Amino acid sequence: MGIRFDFGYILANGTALLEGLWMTVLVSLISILLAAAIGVAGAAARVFRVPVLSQFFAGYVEFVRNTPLLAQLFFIFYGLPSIGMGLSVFWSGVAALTIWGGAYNVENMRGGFLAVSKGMREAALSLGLKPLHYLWLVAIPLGLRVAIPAMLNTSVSVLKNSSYLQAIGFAELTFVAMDRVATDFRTLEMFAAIGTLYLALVLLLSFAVRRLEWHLQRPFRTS
Amino acid sequence: MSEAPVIRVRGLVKTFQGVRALDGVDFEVAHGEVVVVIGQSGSGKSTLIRCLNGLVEPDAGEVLVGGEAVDTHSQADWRRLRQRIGMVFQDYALFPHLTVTRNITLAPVRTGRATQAEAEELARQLLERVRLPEKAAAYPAELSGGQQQRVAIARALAMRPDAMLFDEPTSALDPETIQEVLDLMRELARDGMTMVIVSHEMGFAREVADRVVFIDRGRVVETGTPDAIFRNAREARTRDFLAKIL
Repeated sequence: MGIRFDFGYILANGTALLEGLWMTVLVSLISILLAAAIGVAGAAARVFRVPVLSQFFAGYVEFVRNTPLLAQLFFIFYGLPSIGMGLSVFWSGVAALTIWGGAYNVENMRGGFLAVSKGMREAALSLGLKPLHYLWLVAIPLGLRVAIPAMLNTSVSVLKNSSYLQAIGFAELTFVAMDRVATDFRTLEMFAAIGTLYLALVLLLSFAVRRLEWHLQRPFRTS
Repeated sequence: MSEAPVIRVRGLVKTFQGVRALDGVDFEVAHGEVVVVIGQSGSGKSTLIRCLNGLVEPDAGEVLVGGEAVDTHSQADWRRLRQRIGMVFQDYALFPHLTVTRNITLAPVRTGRATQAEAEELARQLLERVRLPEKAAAYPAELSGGQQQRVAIARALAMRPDAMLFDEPTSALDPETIQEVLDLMRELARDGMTMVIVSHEMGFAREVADRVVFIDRGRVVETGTPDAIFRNAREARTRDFLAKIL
């Protein structure tokens, strides 16, 4: 019996795959942006030792990093409704991925902030700027530049981890593939197809982040 | 007209991890006066100048700016006063991600002192003054150390300060660019700017200072005109220090 790889089968399921792809892109993009925002805010609270918030984010990072994402996802989707905080399957997914990615980004961005020299802060303050001005206009742009490679890693992980959402029945790419496989048993074609789509998404995301990095690095390239 | 000193401190004490960086310092600078603070590394000069604009919070003592007592523990109080006291750092501390013009316009615009257009016009004038008009759109990394320090001076001047603090402004510079920064500081002094300068440039101190203050182990040992200090120092510690570096 020869190996038969049926491209036609993939094409026949193209619409379903594209719908799954779109859901993966949507849930990942929202989560990546929110996780980046949490990372910046949490790292700022940690580095500038904002009382209460600093301790809160330290605990948050430890909790998220030391428990499995799948358990977090189940907690949010199955656990929270019993205390009246039920979220739709989509927003449960966004919440789980955002909370997970945010924790890693707090650490990524903390490294970025720590790389900004103390002199920058003194210079900003000595010009009569407020600490928030310093944070927004100086520390964040300079810190991001350092933190971006690590934040890209985390963002790629958020994107790939969106496949966990099939476990709560969210119709993203992996869910669509599993669903097809359950009826047609064409595992090879389906998983090759979604593998290729994930790879394309990650490459696209990396490219976009490299553009951002290039932009942030521009002032530091001397001709 | 007898004016209150622009900056006056009394009984300033600051301890870092058990070491007394400042041990009861009295110091003042009058309007239009140029004071050069000299002393060995670790003598407390930088701590003193940083106490004058609140970058270091003294443990004890009082600070008066324009005769007004500062609550040295209140960041809001300091923020208001810092807009009247410019500071120039040893390592220039320009914001590396912003162009020269944006470095200069940032504070006047964000503190509400000028509109963007006014600030940009002011930046143009200041860049003329520091002789770098062609660098308006450059980033700090594209400038030499001396050029960066001149931009840093322009940035501080953009807030139209009553006084300027210079913390070893030429210590990080190549010998060939030191002069261009000292020339600019000479001009500022001639124009009547009130200046407190921590420096190791004794030739410059002798030429430009109205008064020289020698600090050792966190105390003001001796203060006087450049002539009095450099030719006829009364204290043995001052003479020892000068003998070592001159």
